[in-house]
Amino acid sequence: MADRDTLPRPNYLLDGGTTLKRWLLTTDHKRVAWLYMVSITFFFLLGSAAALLMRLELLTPEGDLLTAEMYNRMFSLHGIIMVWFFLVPAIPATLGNFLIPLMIGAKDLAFPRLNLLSWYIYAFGAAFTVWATVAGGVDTGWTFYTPLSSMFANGNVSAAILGVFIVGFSSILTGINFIVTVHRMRAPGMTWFRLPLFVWANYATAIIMVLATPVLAITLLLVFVERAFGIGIFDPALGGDPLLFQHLFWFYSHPAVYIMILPGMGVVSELVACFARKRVFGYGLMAGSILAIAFLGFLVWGHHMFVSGQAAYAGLMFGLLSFLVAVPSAIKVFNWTATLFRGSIVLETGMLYALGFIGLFTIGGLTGLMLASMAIDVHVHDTYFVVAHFHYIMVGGMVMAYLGGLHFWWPKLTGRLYNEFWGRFSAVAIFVGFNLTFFPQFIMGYQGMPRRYHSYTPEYEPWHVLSSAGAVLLAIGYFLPLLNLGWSMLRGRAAGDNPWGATGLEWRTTSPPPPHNFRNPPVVQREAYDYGSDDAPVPDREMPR
Amino acid sequence: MSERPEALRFQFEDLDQQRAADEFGMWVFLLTEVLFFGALFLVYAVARWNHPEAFIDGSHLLNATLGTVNTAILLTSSLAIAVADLAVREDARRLARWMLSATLLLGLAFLAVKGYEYLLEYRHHRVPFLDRPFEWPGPDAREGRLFFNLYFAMTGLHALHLVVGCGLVCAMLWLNERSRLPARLTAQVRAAGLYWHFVDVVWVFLFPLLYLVR
Amino acid sequence: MRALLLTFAALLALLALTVWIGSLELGRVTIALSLGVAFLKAALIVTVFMHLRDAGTMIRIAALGGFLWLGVLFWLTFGDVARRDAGADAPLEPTLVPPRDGKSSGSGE
Repeated sequence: MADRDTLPRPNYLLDGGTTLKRWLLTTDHKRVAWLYMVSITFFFLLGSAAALLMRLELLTPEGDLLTAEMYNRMFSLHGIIMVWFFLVPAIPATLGNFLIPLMIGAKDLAFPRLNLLSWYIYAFGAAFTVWATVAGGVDTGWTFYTPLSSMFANGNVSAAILGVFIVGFSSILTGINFIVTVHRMRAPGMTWFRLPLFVWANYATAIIMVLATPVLAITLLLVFVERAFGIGIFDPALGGDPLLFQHLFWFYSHPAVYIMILPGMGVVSELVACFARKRVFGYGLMAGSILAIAFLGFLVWGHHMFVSGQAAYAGLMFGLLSFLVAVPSAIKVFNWTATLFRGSIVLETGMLYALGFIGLFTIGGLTGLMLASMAIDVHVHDTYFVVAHFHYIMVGGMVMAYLGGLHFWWPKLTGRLYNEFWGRFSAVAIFVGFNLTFFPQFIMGYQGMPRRYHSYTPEYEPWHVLSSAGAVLLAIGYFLPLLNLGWSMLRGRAAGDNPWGATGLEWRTTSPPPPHNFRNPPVVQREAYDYGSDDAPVPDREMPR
Repeated sequence: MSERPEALRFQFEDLDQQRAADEFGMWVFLLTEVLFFGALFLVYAVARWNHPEAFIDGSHLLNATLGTVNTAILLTSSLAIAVADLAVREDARRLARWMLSATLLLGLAFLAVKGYEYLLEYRHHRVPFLDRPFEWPGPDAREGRLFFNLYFAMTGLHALHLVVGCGLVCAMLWLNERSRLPARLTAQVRAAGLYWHFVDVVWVFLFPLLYLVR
Repeated sequence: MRALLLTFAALLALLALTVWIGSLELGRVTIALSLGVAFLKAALIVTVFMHLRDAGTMIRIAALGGFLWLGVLFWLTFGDVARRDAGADAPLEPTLVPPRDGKSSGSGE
């Protein structure tokens, strides 16, 4: 410990200036990751506040807390913020930004200034949208369906659409940066099949960002010009096709589900391997299934449109294709389970989050299969069953993975250790709170409770009360990591360079890493997840208690 | 480490890696542009599929002669910037200056012709938005509005890209005079050229679909 | 330099060709022919002017990938649009499908 404090160790947090200006003009991918992290945390809290208001309103069958219009605005605010400004950038722009160059042994991303630019675009677009949503009100939901959004909705819909359009470019720039970085910046010896699965997952995510986001951009632009200048494109009165908007929108937004979940799968692969101290079972299949999910994800969007009036043939086609995505997803779940089998499992905080992810993702995925069957979907579409399904994927899956990854790499990000007890406690609290919030929604949805209503018939009240109680627990659960991790930055014990004894290049540099990541350019000589070998890394820290 | 070439940015090991990354990045960017315009072409395709007669009538209302002239202008500008790329590569700055200027002028000429077409359409009451009066000789006046809406959206977006392209060429002209790092200038002109050619390719598809398919 | 000039000449020839095709007013055939010529022109620009013929594998994949993905978008969207006509002119009230014959309509034997 002593020499660690006395030797001068370059540190990206201190070297290169600590003034606000130096942070806002940085091109260091590790600092840009922090810029993103601070902003997405802010948006996460804002979106959660809207959700909490909705849950409070739904505590009683009458619409007493919010008017119907306010409620519409609340779920639109919640959806817009959580999807566009939290979930899409969450893992790629924070952990991905920080870790990809470290994991492949590069000094930075291929285009560092572009990386900073993407944050500015994100921050500007997101702030603009939130202003529009709060100031004028937007009640279209996060999906901006035409002709509601183009012809009927009042409020600041145009501004909100423009804001999301702008944020899309940040996504595109991040995608381009990641793809080029993974192709061109790998250290000597870092072959494709030595890449950590986290890098594979973010690479596949980047491909989706690059291929899908432009389609969303042009679609939103068309809605914007239709609203702002009356250039009707989707307008049925001119013979335009409002359903075409849904096709184009979901051509982005279904793959966007994989933008949100694939990086989470990457995180979980790292955590499971490290805390079971085993190689990831079936590495090649894991990498292949990531790419397969990214590809198949583009072929299934029409299952969001089963009851929209699209051709019956199209429903059949999209339903069948949707089942295909289940195959690579199941391969991943089986392989994580096989990795855990006979591993030396350590239930550290990160591992608890990862296990939570696997369970909740499985439930979310299986209910997704139900929704992909047209016959069931006709029954439960637009009910809380759908709401519960996608929250199991987005919140139960993605947010769990994000928090797990944040805890796992926190010592690398900050050089500090957080309190392990409170870490584990929050993981369990979030898991329990989440299930209490969303499992009742499966039941009441199946019984017919429609989504997007601020009042309901009393027969659903018990389920709504359970759900609202769970939401409060969940909210407390989300504050705990904020406090715990925040506290660790001030008072946490110094972490070693590799506190978990994990493989991977990011653990071979110091904690926190120097500005250009490595003192000596790394050379890779072995596969990822080499936990079985005799000289596998050992945890570099004082063991607690 | 002190022998690093001046044009080499810190994150790269050598100029080859830097050049490969720059060029690949530019292509991936163009890939996003392909999908950006491609989705617009899909909107066109669906509208045309649903209302073929209106679209045929609509294309008769456009000025195919001006469209042809504009296509020729744009193709020539592509040749000019391709030659400029070659010139910069061989450090023939004078030729590069001429060719970049030609590209810029041809780009502006295209925009001028396009603007003149817009003016004609404005005068003939073919602008179906901004509360302008709209006149349509055929039976499908409502679908005719859709055709012209799409026409303005597609050509407008293309023109906007061309304006950006002109800005890029201006920057290249400036760099061509000032730059003391040939390796960096070559990469920059190459990237600007790729963008310019891409805008040309978009027009190559727009032109027959809007003006000629009758 | 020679390649550039030859390509330019070919592009102008193709432009003349496409204008001529357009003037024939052949209906649906015009679309196919015009698009074919447009793809040829695009291919010339991309391979020669944009140096795709000297580029590496990944750049070729990036260049073609966009068109492939557009193919997916067009194919699946038209899976709906092209087949939605059935019943488009029919009234919006739900219609009952009459039983095909007496034997197959009931569930009981």
